[in-house]
Amino acid sequence: MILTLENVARRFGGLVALSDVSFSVPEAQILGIIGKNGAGKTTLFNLIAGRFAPSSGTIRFSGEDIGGRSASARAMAGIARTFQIPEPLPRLSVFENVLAGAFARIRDRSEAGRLAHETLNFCDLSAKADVASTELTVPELKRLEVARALATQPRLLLLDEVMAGLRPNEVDEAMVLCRRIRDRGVTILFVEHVMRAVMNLCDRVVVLDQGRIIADGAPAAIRGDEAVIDAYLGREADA
Amino acid sequence: MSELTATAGRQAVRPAAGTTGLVLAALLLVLAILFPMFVSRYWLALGITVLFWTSFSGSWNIIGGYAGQFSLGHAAFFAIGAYSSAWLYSVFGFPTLVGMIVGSAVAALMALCIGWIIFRYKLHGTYFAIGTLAMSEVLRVLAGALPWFGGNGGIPIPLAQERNWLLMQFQPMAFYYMFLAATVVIIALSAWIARNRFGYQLAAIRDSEDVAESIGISPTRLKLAAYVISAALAAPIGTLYSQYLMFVDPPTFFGLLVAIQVVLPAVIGGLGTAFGPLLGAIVLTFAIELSDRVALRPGASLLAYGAMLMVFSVLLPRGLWPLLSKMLPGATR
Ligand SMILES: Nc1ncnc2c1ncn2[C@@H]1O[C@H](COP(=O)(O)OP(=O)(O)O)[C@@H](O)[C@H]1O
Ligand SMILES: [Mg+2]
Repeated sequence: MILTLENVARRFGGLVALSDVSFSVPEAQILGIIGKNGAGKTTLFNLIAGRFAPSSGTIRFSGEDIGGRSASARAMAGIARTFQIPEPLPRLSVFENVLAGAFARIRDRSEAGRLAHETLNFCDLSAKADVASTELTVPELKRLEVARALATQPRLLLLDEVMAGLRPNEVDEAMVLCRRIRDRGVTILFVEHVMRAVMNLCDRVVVLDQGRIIADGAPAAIRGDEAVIDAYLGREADA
Repeated sequence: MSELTATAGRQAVRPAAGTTGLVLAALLLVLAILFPMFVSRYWLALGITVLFWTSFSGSWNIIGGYAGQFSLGHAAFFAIGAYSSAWLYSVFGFPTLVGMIVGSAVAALMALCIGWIIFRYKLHGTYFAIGTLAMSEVLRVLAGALPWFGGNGGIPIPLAQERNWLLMQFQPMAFYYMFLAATVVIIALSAWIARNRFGYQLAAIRDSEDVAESIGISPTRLKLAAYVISAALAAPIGTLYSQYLMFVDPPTFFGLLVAIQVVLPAVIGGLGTAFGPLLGAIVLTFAIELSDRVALRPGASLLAYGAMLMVFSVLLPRGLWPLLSKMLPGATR
């Protein structure tokens, strides 16, 4: 298991954003995480990536308890994340944004530059390499988030709604990209509202509702789960 | 990674980082080297002023521009350099060059201690500016209160009895070249930083610490490194300047005026750019010369500096360099 959470909880003052969350992910799987807005998905990512510490519970990465480590230490250990609201480094070009990520594991400038170009290519952003990162469209910004995270050469990638706002054909392309990342041996945690992508892409799906896991299983099983339909999918299904 | 490597060949290679820029910089350097041979003492003094502010502001630019931490206490490191060499020479007879190296080490150590506290407890923006200013002011008051360091009168640097370059007592022409050397070192170092890992990691921190951490950067460590480098560079410039003036005292070296003035060339020219401080120092030096001609009242300069700082921060936050570099092919950040 590359990632294991045991009874993880997080409170913000009186608000319980997550409670009693336990699950584990085997290497090179795509685990979907779905749930209504405010269910705690982004908070879960923030706990795994180390932006916040859990209020209680343990988070293990490759068997090691990483709950007390800083966000940067976790990135160096191999956990990369995208931000739900894209956060390009505004004064850097698209290429330089990815280059900054590539420097995580590579000291040499030309070698890091090579990896950055390869990663841009991989994410279909090469044409925009020298553009200011603030000039990108929303779908491009989402891909830049992925590219910068990928350039750190992670083993676990946390994707937070990278398909939100994409057109159907762009969703298809993003799904291809996710599969190719997984095929390189990277484990993916995939927060998404686009059900078509979740159902097609994920090996397993965890459903959060008000900070608790209400279902955990194969996409087909989740789809038929009464509790999930009530809490999230709705009676008409397939949002 | 094999899939990635396969597609790499198709990627167009970026043009080599500014061959034209390099040629222009070399040309500028030749002009700067020849300059003193053709000008009057007045222009030589102006040249020294420009190079002094360029190198001093360039040292601030590492922490203030590249790392984006707006220090208002940079005068402290400058003064530590000046006081170290002046004090070690006048009291113990240490060669100035030794005092300069000691000063640089003391400034670096000071930055390490102060920076560790400031960055650990995550003082950002205004808090960082005020914290560093307070540190500098405490040192200024201390220097003025301790007779051991000359008190409010400061330390006059005794004239050397023998000719010895280690004592660094030179003619103005030689000071011009010393400040030119300092300028070249700091511009080259800045350009190197900007193009390499350290520079990109500082740029990430400057733009967003959350993003920086997400790509494996420890903001505390990187800011500390930038702060120590900035301090270690400012101190030798303090030594040089004190040798040029032949004295040190609290207001000249620790004063609020210096603390603000050092920030200006970088802000006017372009924060976090290698040539910004040079451009800013030229503009600022001539602006001051002109305003002296129209005889401003003393104290007005502090007001004028503050106003300039605000105008540039609001209207032209990237300074003049981006405007200029658009006209120069091949010049980058
Ligand atoms: N930094 C924070 N401070 C306070 N409350 C927060 C913070 N982050 C998230 N929350 C709260 O935690 C709950 C879960 O939010 P979030 O994880 O962003 O949900 P999701 O990503 O599933 O939409 C929400 O009620 C949100 O307001
Ligand atoms: Mg969210």
